[in-house]
Amino acid sequence: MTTNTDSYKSGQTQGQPGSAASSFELKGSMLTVIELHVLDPVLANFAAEIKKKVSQAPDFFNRAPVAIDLAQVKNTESIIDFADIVEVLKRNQLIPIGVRNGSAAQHKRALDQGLFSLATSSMRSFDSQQDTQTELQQKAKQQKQQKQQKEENKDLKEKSSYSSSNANAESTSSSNKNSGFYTAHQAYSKTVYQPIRSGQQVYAKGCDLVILSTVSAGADIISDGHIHVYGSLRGRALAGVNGDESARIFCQNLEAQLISIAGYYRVIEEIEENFRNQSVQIYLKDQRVTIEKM
Amino acid sequence: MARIVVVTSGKGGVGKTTTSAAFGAGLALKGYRTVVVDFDIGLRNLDLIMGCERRVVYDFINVIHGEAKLNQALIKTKQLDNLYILPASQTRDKDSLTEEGVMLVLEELKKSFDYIICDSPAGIERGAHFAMYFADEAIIVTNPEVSSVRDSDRILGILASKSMRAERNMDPVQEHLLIARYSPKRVIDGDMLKFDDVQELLDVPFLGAIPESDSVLLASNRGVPVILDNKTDAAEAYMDAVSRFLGEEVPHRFLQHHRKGFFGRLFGS
Repeated sequence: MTTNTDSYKSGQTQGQPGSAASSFELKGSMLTVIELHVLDPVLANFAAEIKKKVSQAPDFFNRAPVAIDLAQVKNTESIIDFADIVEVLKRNQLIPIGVRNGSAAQHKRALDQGLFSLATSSMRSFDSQQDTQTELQQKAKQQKQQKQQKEENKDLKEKSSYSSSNANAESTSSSNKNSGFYTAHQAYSKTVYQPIRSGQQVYAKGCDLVILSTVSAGADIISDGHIHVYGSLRGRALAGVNGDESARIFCQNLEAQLISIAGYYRVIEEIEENFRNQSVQIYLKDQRVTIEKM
Repeated sequence: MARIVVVTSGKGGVGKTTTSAAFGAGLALKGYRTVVVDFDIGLRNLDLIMGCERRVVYDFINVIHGEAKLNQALIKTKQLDNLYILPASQTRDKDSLTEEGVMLVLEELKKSFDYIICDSPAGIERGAHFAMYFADEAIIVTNPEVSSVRDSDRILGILASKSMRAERNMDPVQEHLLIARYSPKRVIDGDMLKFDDVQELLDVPFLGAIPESDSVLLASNRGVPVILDNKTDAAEAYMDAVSRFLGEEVPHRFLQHHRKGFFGRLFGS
């Protein structure tokens, strides 16, 4: 029995609009979980052994979550009695939460006993084989579509300015990196017609952000792609927050408190006088935020 | 159809209660049945400014909690027959406000009044939230200085995202900008933001500027809405603003600084 830190990951998205007054927040955190490594599928004497272990350190085990690791018995023919394991653990004031590293069939049977399938890096879900199959097919299809679209868009846009990571945040993997352009039904941009006031935050996830009004001091506008502001830009503008170094900011009247491209930034004090109140574009050149009059 | 108008600013001390009293009286003078509701629970001021403090028996919170009927809490002002106030509680705090309670009181008021003016407390917390939540129109009171302008901007953002109209995807709250404590002379001296700069920063239709004036303080201390104090600049500026609020075209006054000539200074006109 070992103690293992297992991470529950959930990327905290930056700048969800209206996040200020949300009734909850998502955070990634590490939990300590006791791992029960099954060495012999038959588990003779299991109940007695657990009882003995727990009695040695009752405080430590009291209501502790337990993950059942099946790595050692993954390829066995015998059937593991999950119902019995769950029953015994519960009787000893332990909380069985799930199984990991087992075969697809084992995970399926564990699920019937109310145990979750805990994902590990090597395996994403218990019927992953099937999933991978369809996923691959979909990906191939998607790539084909993207390729077609890219060609269609070639004369409109010489260089695709999106890396695949932000154009297709959920569905891409390393296999189709740099092939990225939007799939047919994805939004190309988010458009805002109202003024963005101090304290407000607008995030265009996976697309460009177009603002047809002013952005007040104290407001944040954030985009995975480009940012266009057709009014005064007085707040903070962050383009390419997902790491796209080719993202740009275009604005008609630059009074911004802060401008940032892919994490590189300049505050207003570092913006030369002669660019203030001007119509400019802002881009990254040699990893430096560069401003150019338009 | 009754209109709910919130008078708000974010920042404190900019003239919200003075403006609420003045607009209430101004709308009443124009013939509308008007009530001014004090949302500043725990820091009751409106009754003082409107000269009703000695007649407060029941208050807004009593009505919300069902301890008094609305008619028992409403106080008719001495100056105008069609102007009432609903005072705040001085002994409770803002947690006593509930969304349902506020809504029921406002619904009830809607039956007998043309305009319901909600005098918001400073800040963006519970009291301010409920004052603006049900509003149809908002008068943003701003002083010509940067922190006041920024706080007003924040309030405008909240109006555009957290009001009932915003949450239910109805037509947005109609916004109006009123600049209080405006001194054209200090603008020329460079001590104060100019009215059109403020208007440009906030990007909201401009109702007018109320000149900085001793008459405002005097009127408050006497418990008379400043707008009833005839012949003063502040009273006339408020009356112009009320007219513009009602959609009338009135030329702006009190925006320029007029240097007094020799005779002017001599006779003090």
